[in-house]
Amino acid sequence: MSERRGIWGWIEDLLAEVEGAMIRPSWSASDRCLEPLVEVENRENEIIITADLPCVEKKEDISLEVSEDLLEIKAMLKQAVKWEKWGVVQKNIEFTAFKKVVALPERVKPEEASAVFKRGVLRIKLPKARRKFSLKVS
Amino acid sequence: MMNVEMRIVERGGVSFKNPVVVEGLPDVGLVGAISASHMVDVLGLVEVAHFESTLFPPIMVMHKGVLTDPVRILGNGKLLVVTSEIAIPPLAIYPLANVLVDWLSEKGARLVFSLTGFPEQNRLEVDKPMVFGVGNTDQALNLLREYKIEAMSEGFIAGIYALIMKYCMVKKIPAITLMAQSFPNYPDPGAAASVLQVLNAILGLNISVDSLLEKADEIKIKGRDLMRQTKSSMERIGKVSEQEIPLMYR
Repeated sequence: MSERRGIWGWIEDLLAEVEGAMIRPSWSASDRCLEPLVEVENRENEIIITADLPCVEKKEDISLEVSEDLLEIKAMLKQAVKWEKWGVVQKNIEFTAFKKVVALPERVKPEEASAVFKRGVLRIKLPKARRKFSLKVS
Repeated sequence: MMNVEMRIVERGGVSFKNPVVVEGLPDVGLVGAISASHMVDVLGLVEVAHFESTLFPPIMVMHKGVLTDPVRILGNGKLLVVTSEIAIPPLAIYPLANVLVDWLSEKGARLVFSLTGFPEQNRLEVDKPMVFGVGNTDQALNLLREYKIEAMSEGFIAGIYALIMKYCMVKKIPAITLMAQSFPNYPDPGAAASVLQVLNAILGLNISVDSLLEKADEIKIKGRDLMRQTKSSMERIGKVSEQEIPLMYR
């Protein structure tokens, strides 16, 4: 990595850290969605994404859209959630779904992706698109 | 105007009678924070003291219209519960543990429990999370044996409870950490129910966990923000070392 790239890399890392540290709400009033907790595990040949989806009853209530570099999760809640004593603006919002767009750390093969929903946790397996070759040691 | 790194401010009017202390600060799966919150609700515990620190973010909480500090000690003369509605920043962990244990020693605390989660990769396959224990003295370890709680004999523990146990050892206060198999980064009311059942047995309490399990989904939704903050804090204190294998030298 060149020195120039190194500096930009450092700035990108710093910006990512600042962005991560910023308090941003885990909900959106405009589309009445809550943001689920999501974990991304970058394995050797696949990316595993899990999402905690409490109050989501069945797999039919979940819709997933996958491209080579993005995953969008949307899941309807079994009943709308409203906290009437919370905040000032927030207490009037009725949340009806979870929604989250995840930027994938590497390109994947969307057509080979699979998902399982069990006990309120969604697990998505995304095989990586990169090709591998065996190399002989001489 | 406050200019202190960390201090405990008492409300006054409480006569301490060698209290048992339960620490439930946010950590793996928010097991401690969920358990502490449930204890406060079920037992109707009231604020006894709160922490003030320039190391905390400038946050206050409103409850029933009343301005409240987020890191608090609730209870009575015999039972104290330490909890927080914010993640404890890494820089605040040492002074908080130190100040807390000094204060508990002053109040004649006879036994300290920390409730937390132990990251379980296959948590989805676990119906009823197991509870493990760590003790800091012979007395604490005997208690674990008496109640047939599997004790960790080798391994790392990282987090505020590790320091609380260490400082309690210095002050000769027996301390036990109860840790349940838990989702690492999702709020885990099921794991909280498991540690509370063990605490019930040891202390002869009768805290029902039925309502906790019934409200599990609601707790998981409400706990998302605290879990996000806590995950970020845990990443910065080397929490991952709990999964590492220590060099065996004996």
